[in-house]
Order: sequence, then structure tokens, then C-alpha cells
Amino acid sequence: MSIWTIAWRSILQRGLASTLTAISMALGITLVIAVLVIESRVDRSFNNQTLGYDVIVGAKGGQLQLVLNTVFHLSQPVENIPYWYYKEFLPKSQRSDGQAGRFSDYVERAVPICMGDYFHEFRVVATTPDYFTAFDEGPKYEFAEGAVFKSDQPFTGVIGAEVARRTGLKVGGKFAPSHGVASGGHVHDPFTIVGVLKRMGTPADRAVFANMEGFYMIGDHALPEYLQRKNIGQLLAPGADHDHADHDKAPATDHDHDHGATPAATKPSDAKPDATPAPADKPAAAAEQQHASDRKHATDDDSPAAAGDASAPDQTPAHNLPAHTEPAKAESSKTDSAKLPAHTAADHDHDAVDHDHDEHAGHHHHAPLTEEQREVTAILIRTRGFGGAMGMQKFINKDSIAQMAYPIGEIGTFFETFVRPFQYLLLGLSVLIIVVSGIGIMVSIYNSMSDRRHEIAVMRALGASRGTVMWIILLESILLSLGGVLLGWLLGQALIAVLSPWILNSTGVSVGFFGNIGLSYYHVPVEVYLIVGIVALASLVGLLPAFTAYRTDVARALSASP
Amino acid sequence: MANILSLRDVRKSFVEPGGNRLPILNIASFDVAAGEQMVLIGRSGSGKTTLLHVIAGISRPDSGVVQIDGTDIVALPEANRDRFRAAKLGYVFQTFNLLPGFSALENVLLGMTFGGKHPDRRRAEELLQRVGLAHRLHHRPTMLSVGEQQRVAVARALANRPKLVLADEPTANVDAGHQQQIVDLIRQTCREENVALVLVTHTPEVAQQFQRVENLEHFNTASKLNAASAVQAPAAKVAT
Repeated sequence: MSIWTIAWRSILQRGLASTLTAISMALGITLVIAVLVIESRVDRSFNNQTLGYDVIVGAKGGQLQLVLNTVFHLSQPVENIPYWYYKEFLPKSQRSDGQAGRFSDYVERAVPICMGDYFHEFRVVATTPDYFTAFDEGPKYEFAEGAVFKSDQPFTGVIGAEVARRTGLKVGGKFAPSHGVASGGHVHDPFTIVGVLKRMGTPADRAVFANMEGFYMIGDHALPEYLQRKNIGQLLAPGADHDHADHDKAPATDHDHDHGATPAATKPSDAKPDATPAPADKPAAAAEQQHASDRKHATDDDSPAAAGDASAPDQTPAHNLPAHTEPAKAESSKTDSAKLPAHTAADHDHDAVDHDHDEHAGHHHHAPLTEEQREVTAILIRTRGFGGAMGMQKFINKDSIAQMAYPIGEIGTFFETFVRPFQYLLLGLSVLIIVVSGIGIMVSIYNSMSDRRHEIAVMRALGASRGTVMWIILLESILLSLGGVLLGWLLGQALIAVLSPWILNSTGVSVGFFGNIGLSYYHVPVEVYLIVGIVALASLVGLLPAFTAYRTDVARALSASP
Repeated sequence: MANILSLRDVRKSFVEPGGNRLPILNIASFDVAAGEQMVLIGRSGSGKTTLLHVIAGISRPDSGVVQIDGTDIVALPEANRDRFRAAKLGYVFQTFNLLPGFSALENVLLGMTFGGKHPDRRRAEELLQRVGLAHRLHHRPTMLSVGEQQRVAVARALANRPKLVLADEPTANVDAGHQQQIVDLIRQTCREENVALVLVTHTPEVAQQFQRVENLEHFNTASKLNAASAVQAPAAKVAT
């Protein structure tokens, strides 16, 4: 009979006490397992996410918010930036004007996304088909059903696995994005689902991807006028003192998020027939222009270089603008000069392009927004080579339009600042519980020692050495703890399985179900550490009773009545 | 016939609470031949149990030689003495001392566990059969009668094929009807395996069955010297 068996028998003999101590240990382990597994997965979701892009460009504001929004689809929707600004990141081949974008030298890939709409509680991410394929070092998008939408089919989209599960939608189903959180917003025209993604354990599971082209057919998504390029000159100047209050005086310019209340003001393009400019819009635009040119004038005086310090002179906005919007010029040039004397007097070379949206005036609701009216929420960028991001950042941050954020850095900082301390706290508490249950085991065994002193003496009389009886007691402690670990592990996994959907719901971070995510990659190390730690703890708490066993005076204990 | 057990000038004393040493054993010479069966008698407190503990190596004498099968166990380090005890000695207690968590068979196997050899399950079963408990192999001690428990204890004492069995009042807790059965069992199994037996008893009917009966008080000079106090003190000391 091995000393394992002897130790095991001793445990069985004190069944109730053993069970209770093992359960107390199990509860501690349950907590630790739950904390560790959730932590490691949250950790991975935050820190080990391969995005495929290294830079996000979006509206000025909190970088963290931009990142949380773009990467995790969390937090409040952020503001938008003009579509033409996105174009600055594209090479010649992808631009209608045949000129390289201002930042194109720094960029390997750039994919735009538009956010702000919801389908039920899921965020709608309007983007191009490139989103799924452009970043080959990023997550692999695999389809459970269907495929990615095509850019020439505007009202099509793709849904994430969790969206599919919760809504029951499949390929062929339709979703209608609504503007504003969940219900209550303005409901847009439906998109047809052409693909359902496989579960990825990333925020993509909870996202609804819509073709951006369709998105731009929804007038709501027009760029606020003050951000349209004709008005933007002053925003590009470094250190420009851009005053939002001035723009807000013109109600028609503030139509990006307020169309529920003032539908007439929302879509300049469909409100205006070709020859008769909408009275509400024109004066506002005129005021805007007046202000803009003033502003531009002032800043030009302050720093003549303006955006011209970009590497290639022909990439400065001033040079780009006329070329880019050439087709729109002819039709609108007359009205421009007529209504914008101040601007013309200021003699800016881009004044001729103002109001190129007039070209599209009269298009009905479903006509795509002009490039000028388009806006994007963020641009996902993989920069070119080493230092590409740094080179670009200088210029982007000088402009008053956008900011650049490094998602990995932001996520890391966020994680270390907010998530990590909480994890340490939880882990500390769990470890404390394990220590307490360890002490429970010690008390349980130690209390039994007075009864067992006699048994130990008998074993000694049968030839067991001090070391042997000490080992038996230690093994008892270890076996009890391991029993607790096993029970606790099962309970912990069950707890995770139960909590998983809740965590997914509240954070967008999937912690998966039983072995859903990399069982071999994740569980083993955590649990190996745990088992080693528990055995160490059990040995430690077993030492006191074991030492009592070691020191048992055999002759005296044998003579004492059992 | 060679002696299986030889004691020479064995002295053992306990320290009293006041610091004085109280002699318990002072034995000039005591021998038991291989396979010999003898009875040790003496009043309570005469040092009988202490002597058995010294022979078994459970207690270490202050001085002297305790030679068993040619080995002086006093000179052995404790761990070796434990192993030696497991291999060469069998012990039958007055209170049986079966471990309650183990079945009859397991209690016998336990006797083999610490000897360094692989426990021989067949021998354990055979021994239990020999003491008439073939049908009680898997019963726990609490499910056995007092007589049956002591028979398990006898089987356990013999499990490792010892050279010497020490039996400390093995019939004291057994009812009169089963006393003789136990004594016969011990004597017979020891004889079958040529195991020497030192049996301590208070019962004259048991003692008179043996050829050799020694009164410890006659050869333990410590108990004579301390006749007055020895009656209580050592016993009290040992028992607490």
C-alpha cells in the first residue's frame, strides 16, 4: 500500500471535514480561474490583437475615444472628417484627379470607415470591401455564409457572427441602419445581407458592415458644410484658431446630426434644384465663405507656408483643390464669383471650386453624395516602412481637421491605466481567498492530529519512519488541495461559460466558451502555474501538522488510550 | 540455538518534572532464543511496556546493547531502526491499534508497507485465512468483534515474516471466552514460522501455559531499587 493510498484513506475517513475544506479551496480556485481566464482573454483582446493597421486617422478629439470607437466599436460615436481628407492618403492610381494624395508617400494601405449608425444595439460600420482584405497581417475574415459585399452593389452588407445569432438574420436578410443609438433614431433604407462572418472572438462579431457606397446614398451622412473643402483652407493652416461658434450661427451648416428635427436642412444636395439655389442654404454658405476667407486670409498672413511644407509642393491642398474638382467648376463658377466678393478679393486660388455640390443639386434622395459632401469617421492606415507614421503625424496634427492615433499604443495605455489595476485587485482578492482556504485545510488537518497521533504512533510502531508519516500528512494536504483545484477548475469553467455572453455584451470583448479560444495556447500555462502554486501552498500549510506528525512521541502516544 | 534477542546492561530512565532522573530499566542480561516462546510478568509499573518499547526500538535506552538477530539496534540511526523494526519485529498491542480507515486486509498490508519490500497481498490474505477471517477481509475494524480485531492484529504482526513478535497483554481487552483462542493463535502461527515470542501478561492462566516465565521485577534492578515509587511514577509518566 503506497503512502498515497494511506493519505487518501485518511481523507476519506474524515469525509465531511475533507469535503468542506476542499469546497472552500474550490471556491477560491473558481474565482482565480475565472479572473485569470477572463483576464488573459481580455488581455489578448486588448493587447495581442493583430489589427493589420498601425494608425488611425479621425476627427480631432480624444485619441482613446477614436481608438475605442474604431477598433472595439465601443464608446460614443466620434465626429467625422471629410472624405477628401481620406483621399489625401491615396496614391495617384486611386484618385480621380490623377494626383498623388498629400500623405500617400507614407501610406501602404488606407481604408475608410463611417460609423454612427446602429442596427438594433449593434454598431454599423460602413466601409469598402477592402476592409476585409486590405490588411493581410490583420484578422482573417472568414465567412460562415456568403461573401464580402461588392462595391458596385451599394445597399449590401455583411454581419458578424454574434449579430447573426442574436437577430437570426442570414444571407438575403435585410438590415436598416438607424441614426442614433439603438431605437429612436431615424431609420434608413435597408441593406441586403450578402455575407455572415464566422465567429472571430473580436468586436467584428458584434458589428454590422455596410457598403459605404450605400451609406453615401443616405443623405444624412453628408459632411457638414464648414468641413467641405471649399471652406477648409483655414483649417489646414498650422495653429489656425478655428472658431466653431461662428459656424454654428448658420443653422444650415449644422446638419450632420440634427436632421430628425430639421429635415429640410439636412441635405443640401437634394434640396436644391439646378437653377434655383435653396434660399436657406445659400446665405448660410455665403456667410460661411465670408468667414472662411477671412480666416484663411489671416492665417496666410501669419504663416505663408501654411500646408505648403509638405514634402512635394504639388501635394499642398492649395494645388490639389482646383484640379480635384475641375469638372464641377464650370457650372458653378458664375454664382461663386457673384456671391462671394470678399472671397474673390482675397484672391485665393481655390475659390473657383466652391459649391461644386451644386453640380449634383437636384439629384434625388438616393443619388450618392458627391465626394465633396462625403465624410468618413476614421481611416485605418498601414503606414509604409519604418517611420512612415511619424512622418505623417507632423502634418496631420498641424491641420485642424484630423488627428492621428496609434491604436496599439492607445490600447496599451488604456489597458495599463484602467483595466490592469482592476485585474490586479481581483487577482489579489482571489489569491487571498485561496490562502484563507489553505489555512482552512491546515486547521482541518491540524485539528485531526490529536485524534491521529495514535494512528501515527501505530504506523511508526509498524516501521514507518518519521519522514514517511510526515509525507503522509503532507500528501493529505496536497491531495485535498488538488481535489479543490479540480473542483474549482470545473466550477470556474462553468462560471466563464455562464458569464461569457454577459462580458461580450457589456464590453464587446469575447471571452469565448469552453475552449472556444486557443485552449492549448491559453489554459495550459495558467493552470499549470495554478497547480504548482497550489501544491506549494498545500505543502506549506501541511507543514505544521506534518511536523507534528514528525515529532510524535511514539512510546507516549501508544501508551495513551486511543 | 542462537539468541534472536540479547540485552546487555540496558538502562533507561525518565526525567521527572523536578529534573531528577527516575530509573525504569536496569537489566544486566536478558536473552531469547530463536523461535523461543516466553512470558514476561510483573506488576504494573515494573517497566514491562518500556522494555518492549526498548526492544522494538521505539524507545532508545540510555545505555546498553539491544541485539536483535545480530544487530545492535541502539547503535542504528533512527531511520534504520524504523526499517529494521518493520523487517524483523512484529508487535501485538493490548488495544489492537488497527487503523480505523482501513479494512482488515489493508491493515495487514499496512504492516508490510514500511518494510521496504513490496506488500504481498497473497500472504496477507493467507494470514487472515489462517486466523479464521477469510470472510472478513474487507471489513473495517469497527465492523469486527473485539476477538476478530485482535486476530487481525496478530496477522498484521506476522505479515513481514518477523524474527521476533512482541505481544503486550494481547488478551487483556479480549473477553474470557476468546482469550485462549488468541493465545493459541499467536503461539501456533509463531511456531509455524519459527518466530520467537515475548508475551507480556497479567493473566496466570495464560502465563502457566508457557515453559519459560520471567518476572521482570526479578531481573530489572531498577524496579527493585524504586519499588515504592515505581508502582506509580513510571506508569504515570509513560502513560501521559
